[in-house]
Amino acid sequence: MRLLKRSTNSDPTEFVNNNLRLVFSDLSENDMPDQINDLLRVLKDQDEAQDVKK
Amino acid sequence: MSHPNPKDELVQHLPALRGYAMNLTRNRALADDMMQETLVKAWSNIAKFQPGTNMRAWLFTILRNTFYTNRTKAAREVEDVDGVFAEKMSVKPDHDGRMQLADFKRAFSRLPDEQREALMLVGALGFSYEEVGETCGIATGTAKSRVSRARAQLLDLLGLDAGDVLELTDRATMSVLSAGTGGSTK
Repeated sequence: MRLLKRSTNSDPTEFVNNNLRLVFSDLSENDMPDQINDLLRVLKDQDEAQDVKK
Repeated sequence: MSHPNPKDELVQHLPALRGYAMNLTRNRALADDMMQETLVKAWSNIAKFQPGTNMRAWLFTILRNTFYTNRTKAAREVEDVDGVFAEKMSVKPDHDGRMQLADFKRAFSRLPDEQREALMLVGALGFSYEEVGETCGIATGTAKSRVSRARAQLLDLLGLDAGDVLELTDRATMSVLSAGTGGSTK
């Protein structure tokens, strides 16, 4: 495994946290799957239908 | 004092919830199943959410409980069958910063599940140890211990000492970091 660069910019905790944010950003992705968006739409429609009944 | 509709806030946390699901399951199909189940449960039990408390921690707890409740079923499935998690953790040597991140991802993926989860919550999302304890159903001290061991093991896997001072990658990477992930700063 290649060595990471070193400087005076960050301590190991900060280094780990910043890279974890990048990893999490990759895992989160910006595009939500269609099935989740569809489900969200169904749930919102149900709420609206209930509101109309009231 | 009035609070905004918690369902609006719930929707804002879905990307983070997906990241948590991916980190927990290591399988995109399973992560999306967990997401759907969690969304339905949270939506139908939104009255139980206390406004002003940590919505993200609440959602993560629901997803985590859902995952472990279904774990018998999940255990029968091959982990990361579609290779998505592995692909996301794989090396993408397009420039110096990405190479470093690839090394980091590879090491991170080798951590034990419970350590990887705790470290992700604290390091990437800014959860306090108390919140990690609540989310994972463990004592605060246990959460702190897991994070500490995870950090130490990660640095060891990267061939670094705890006393080393490190530099972060490139401008493109730093722009992602400065944009943040919306995590709590507790």
